[in-house]
Amino acid sequence: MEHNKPKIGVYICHCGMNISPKVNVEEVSSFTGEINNVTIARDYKFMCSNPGQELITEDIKNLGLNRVVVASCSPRMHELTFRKACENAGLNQFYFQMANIREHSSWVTKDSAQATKKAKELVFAAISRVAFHAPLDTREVDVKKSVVIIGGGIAGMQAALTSAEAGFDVHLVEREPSIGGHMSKFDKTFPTLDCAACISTPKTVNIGQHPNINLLSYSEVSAIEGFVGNYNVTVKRKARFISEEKCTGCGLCTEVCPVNIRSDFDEGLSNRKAAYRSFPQAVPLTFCIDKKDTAPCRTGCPAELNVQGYLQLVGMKKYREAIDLIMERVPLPGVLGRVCPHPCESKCRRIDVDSAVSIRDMKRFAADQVDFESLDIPEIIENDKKIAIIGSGPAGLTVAYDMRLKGYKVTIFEAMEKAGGMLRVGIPDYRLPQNVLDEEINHLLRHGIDIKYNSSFGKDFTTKDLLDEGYDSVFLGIGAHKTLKMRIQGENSKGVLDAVSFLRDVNTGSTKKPGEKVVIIGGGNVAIDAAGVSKRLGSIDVTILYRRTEKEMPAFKEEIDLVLDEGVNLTTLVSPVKIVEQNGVAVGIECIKNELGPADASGRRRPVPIEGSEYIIDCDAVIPAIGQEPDISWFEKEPELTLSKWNTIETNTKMQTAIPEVFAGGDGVTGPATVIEAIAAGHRASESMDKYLSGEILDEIEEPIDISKENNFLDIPSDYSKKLKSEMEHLSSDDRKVNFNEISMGLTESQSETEAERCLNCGGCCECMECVKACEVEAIDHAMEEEEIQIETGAVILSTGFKAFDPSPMTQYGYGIYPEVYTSLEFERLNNATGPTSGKVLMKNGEVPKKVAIVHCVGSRDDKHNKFCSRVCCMYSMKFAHLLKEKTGAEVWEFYIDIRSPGKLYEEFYNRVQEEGVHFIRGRVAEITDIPDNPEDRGKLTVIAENTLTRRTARIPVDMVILGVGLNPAEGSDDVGRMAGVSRDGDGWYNELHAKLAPVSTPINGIFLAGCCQGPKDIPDTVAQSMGAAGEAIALLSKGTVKTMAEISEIDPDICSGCKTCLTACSYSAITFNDSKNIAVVNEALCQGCGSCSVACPSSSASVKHFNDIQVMNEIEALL
Amino acid sequence: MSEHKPKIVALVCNWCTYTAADLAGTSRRDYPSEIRLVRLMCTGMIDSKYILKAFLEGADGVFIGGCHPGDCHYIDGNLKAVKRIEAIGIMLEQFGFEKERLKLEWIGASEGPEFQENMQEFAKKIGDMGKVQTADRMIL
Amino acid sequence: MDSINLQNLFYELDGDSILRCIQCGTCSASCPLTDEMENAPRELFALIRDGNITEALSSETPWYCVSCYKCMTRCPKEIPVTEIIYTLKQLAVKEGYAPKNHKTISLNSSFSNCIEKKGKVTESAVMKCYGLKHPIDVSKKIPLAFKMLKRNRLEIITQKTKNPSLLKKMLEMGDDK
Repeated sequence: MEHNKPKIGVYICHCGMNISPKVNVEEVSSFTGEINNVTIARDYKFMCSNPGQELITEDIKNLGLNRVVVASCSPRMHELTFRKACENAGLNQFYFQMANIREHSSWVTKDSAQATKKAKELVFAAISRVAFHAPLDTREVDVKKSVVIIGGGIAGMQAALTSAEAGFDVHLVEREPSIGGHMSKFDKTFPTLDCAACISTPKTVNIGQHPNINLLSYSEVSAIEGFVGNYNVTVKRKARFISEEKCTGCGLCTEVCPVNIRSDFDEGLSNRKAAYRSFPQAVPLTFCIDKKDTAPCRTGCPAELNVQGYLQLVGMKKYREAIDLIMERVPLPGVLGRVCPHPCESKCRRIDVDSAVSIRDMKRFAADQVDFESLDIPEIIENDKKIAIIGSGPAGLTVAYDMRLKGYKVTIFEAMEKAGGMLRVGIPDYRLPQNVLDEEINHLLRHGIDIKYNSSFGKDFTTKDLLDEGYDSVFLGIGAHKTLKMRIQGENSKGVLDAVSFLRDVNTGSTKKPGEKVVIIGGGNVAIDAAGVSKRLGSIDVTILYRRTEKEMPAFKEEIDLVLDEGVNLTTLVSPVKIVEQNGVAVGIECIKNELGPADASGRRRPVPIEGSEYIIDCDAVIPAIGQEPDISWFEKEPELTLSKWNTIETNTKMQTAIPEVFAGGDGVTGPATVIEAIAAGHRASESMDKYLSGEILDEIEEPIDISKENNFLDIPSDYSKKLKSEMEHLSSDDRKVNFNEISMGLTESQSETEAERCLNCGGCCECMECVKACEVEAIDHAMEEEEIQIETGAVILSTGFKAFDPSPMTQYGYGIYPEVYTSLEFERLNNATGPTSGKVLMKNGEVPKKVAIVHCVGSRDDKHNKFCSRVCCMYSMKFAHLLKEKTGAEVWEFYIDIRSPGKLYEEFYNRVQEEGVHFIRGRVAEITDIPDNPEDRGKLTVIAENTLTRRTARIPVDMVILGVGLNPAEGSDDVGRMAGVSRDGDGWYNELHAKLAPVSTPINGIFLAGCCQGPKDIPDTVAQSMGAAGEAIALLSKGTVKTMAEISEIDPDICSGCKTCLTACSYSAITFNDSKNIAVVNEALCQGCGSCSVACPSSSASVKHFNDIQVMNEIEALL
Repeated sequence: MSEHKPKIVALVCNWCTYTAADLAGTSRRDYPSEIRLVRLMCTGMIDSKYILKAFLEGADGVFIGGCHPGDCHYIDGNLKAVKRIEAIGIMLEQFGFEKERLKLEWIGASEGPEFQENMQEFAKKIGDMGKVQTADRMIL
Repeated sequence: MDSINLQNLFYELDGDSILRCIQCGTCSASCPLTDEMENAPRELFALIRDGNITEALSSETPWYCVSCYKCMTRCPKEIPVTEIIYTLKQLAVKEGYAPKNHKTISLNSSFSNCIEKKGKVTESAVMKCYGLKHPIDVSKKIPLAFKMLKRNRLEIITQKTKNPSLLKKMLEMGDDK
């Protein structure tokens, strides 16, 4: 602030006869002349005139004035005039102050003496203030001549075109795959009944082709930072998985896509595919693939099999392709399709509707349709490394297949005569036929995998032997083939056969029955298998003994049920004590009864023997099946390998054993587990082995994804009818007891179709890759990722539009309950030629409605929902009436409260519709019911309202009801508002700067509004407003620079204590905090000069230029 | 009725009340001349200092005029003013001033007649309350 | 009391919510007894707003209300319709506009009189009192009365509370003018 000696020039205006003679201007002038610092005081008739202004400019030049006071009219009239005069004379315009002695003295004071006195005081105050004025500058800030428009409906599109025509760069961001907004869903628009597509397509096409418009479809804005002229907008471009450059819009992908999803564009009235385009005239014309989070069946499978994918392929009868897809993760489809415990089914979301999809059975069905011998073997690019795999169970086979496809030379060493491990020798033929195993294993071997039978690990070779022989890596898939001992007396008697050996013997051809009366100990699948086999071999009495209850048995329930059905007995809560033998031959087994005690470490209740409850069961064979462990007879020959306390091979998390080249997986590492887990382990091992052999560092293997967190899956439509899962036919128990034929017969073809349909397609696109195969220009890329881009822009226009009110809460109208109650948007789709009925107005039963009711004010003018009137519903409701008459000749009723038809040709449209014979009933619909007043109206909906004009209750039976739903702000518009700093009113619409005088601007400089996001309106008003918004943006940025205000806040950095109080006080977020200097800094482009910060500042370091404390206080002091 | 002519300072916001005052002027609506206006940008800009200064310099009454809530040119400056001025009023009382000597009123830009009314009412009230007896008050 | 004062009194008793009414007719259409009523509920509001409160008070309409609350649940202006109907009923009786000898009113007052005097409700006593004003209506119900008597469901002897003076005091205390 300058404190050089002020030389003040004071000019008292007569203002013709307005100030003088009420105020004695000469008196004021001479009074003023006596005041300190006043160099000259004049009075003149019209200060605002040219000569008047010249007085000032001459005095400044000649007398060296450095302050000027004019006492005349209101500063709101002429402050700028006189400021300019000062500038013209070379004096900073802010060295000027005005005293209002006209509006505030001469015109409002009756008495002349009082008026003069007041005038003197006002002038004195101005003089005192002006002494403390400082020269201020306005700055010019460079701006970008570009606009970002958020929302690609008619509002956004029009704003884009107008701005682009002005030569601005336009970035149009639209979150749907295509622009067009709600208007592209309509058939005809009121009142002229133009076809919506016909009038909007020229605009959409123009946008697609305009050189100045950058169309960012399928994208969303995630942040808006900066200030007017210099905004930085972050846009997230969602992955379409189809290249915009390459796609020709041919539509082959959508034809082959198997996934059906409810179409949002058709308001849920029809389905579209996961690979889709919203409507034929979409801009851009690129198709889009709708992918959600990976379906829970896929993440629930230990081997990460693409369950959803193959279910859909089976549904399409593409069995080969299904098998190809399955074999990517599960090399033994038919096997798993019979024996897998299907963890995927327990994650299936169809359970929320009725029951899980029969996923496992579908896998078997696919495998049964395919002749494995005819499958192609792919070309394999060989490398120079050799892998040895010990064990041809599921783990070993998986590693063999994976490594072979990668080009390694693979040799399997199998101890038994045939390949398959436990699959071959553990699982009975009636569950898993030998020929299935043969077919699938041979197919794997045909890829060029060597196998040596009767080669036993430890006996015939060691790992060292193999590595010496030149194998680069070894995989141990030895399984768990040794039965655990019961450790009771008499265990070694004749007649006691361990389950694993027993099953192996039978599977390799033995038909000897174990005995007449067989007792099996255990509750797992092995015990159940042993029971079933015994029965089939001819044992008359087969009993399973289990020490807990049936509920706790670890065997698969289906297996337990099947075997009990075959006549096997189950005795629970009993444990073996000892084998009763005679001459070394088992003749019975002594048992003791149990009760369940408290839970043990596994969570199951411990069996506690009941004292004195021992008893003996007569039998001639005992088959213990209480668990397995790996056979470790090779251990002595392998001093470097380490074992756990359960005799399993120890590995690190990368599937490596203590010997770096030797990996292991499957039952041999985990103890007895499931086939699918062995396969999963095989994949992990082969990945590690491949990396190891390529010299890469091995990764820690991650835990599978936890799907209990919030997931983005496809919604389950509420109207899915319940359909329980298809159950396979099984052989009757009579038929199967006597042979080893496969029990389950597999799904039928029609069952397979049903199951594929039942799949909810949780993941959206199922990644079956059929679209990739179909696309002739290779435009599809399933690995495409979301992109984030930054746009520097000068202004932002919000045009986020609206969403229709959801009438579900108004249960009295029956929406969602009665099928023939539609919302207006749904009815638009029925009318539109690209809609679910190709433009014909049809009910869901395919018939043409004869009587239709149209209900106004649904959700609008309603304190319970939206208080406001939605403005367009009366007009579109009457449009529907007209279209109904034209297309169907139906009888139409309009139920209204008031008819609002305020636009050009709107009232005339109303008259036209009246004259077409549409019934207008003035009464708000109270309820819609399916209970008819007359029996012949059964099946119709009865609409009840009071006809307030005739004072009668109207009860009209109709075929179809259309609800004229109101408008609400679009979903997500609140987030966009927050990003832009634009506030919303009580109904959620964006707040404009001034309802009458600035409806397209916001309090934030540089952010504008267009269309319904500011409030419900029709298309003509929307287009007008968006042209206005574009115009405002253009006007703001056209000069290339923007002036900042001078009377803004400043913060003295020396005094600022860094308390940050001002930051919260500022309504414009115009103050930022400089962390390094620990002071607050004003953003000169954003500050509006309101003074909130200066008052809030406790250290008085913040003040408003031209309105600081000294200036104001002096003015006040001088007045008193 | 006192003959004492009270000294009244009115701190008014540029966008609403000052404009209303101008409108009262063009409509020739007169009010007592002892009211002197100080033009500020917003009632939210009014520091407690200004009010105290006024009273210290001999004002018998201080009138504050701003935009109606919701209409503030600076969004919510007037709302910030409400609480502050209430607090100042309480403080004034503690120092022996009658709270009624400080008045906050919302006068919109088109409300010329209301401006005149308010000025007349306030002037009358302050006139009736008489001069501030500083001798009896605690020294601020 | 004249129309204007009555209207003001009605508004003071929270009847001023009807000033919001947009005459949509939802209340009338929702009312299960709308076809029986002389005026629709909506009409009553229109009459009152128009200054015709006496006509509204004299109407039979409010006396058909069974308090199902359908109107109030659905009113888009959140007008407490059912409660306003109650207010009209009370005002009608107090100011003497209620339809003379209306059955509902007579039954209501017979019922409350019985309670006031005896502290307990005895059906025979209530019907006796009611029957004095509406003998034909009661006589139609006599077969029903016999049926009830046969099944021991009808008290002939009038019941009364043990402490009638205490009851009287309580009623006086609760009586706010």
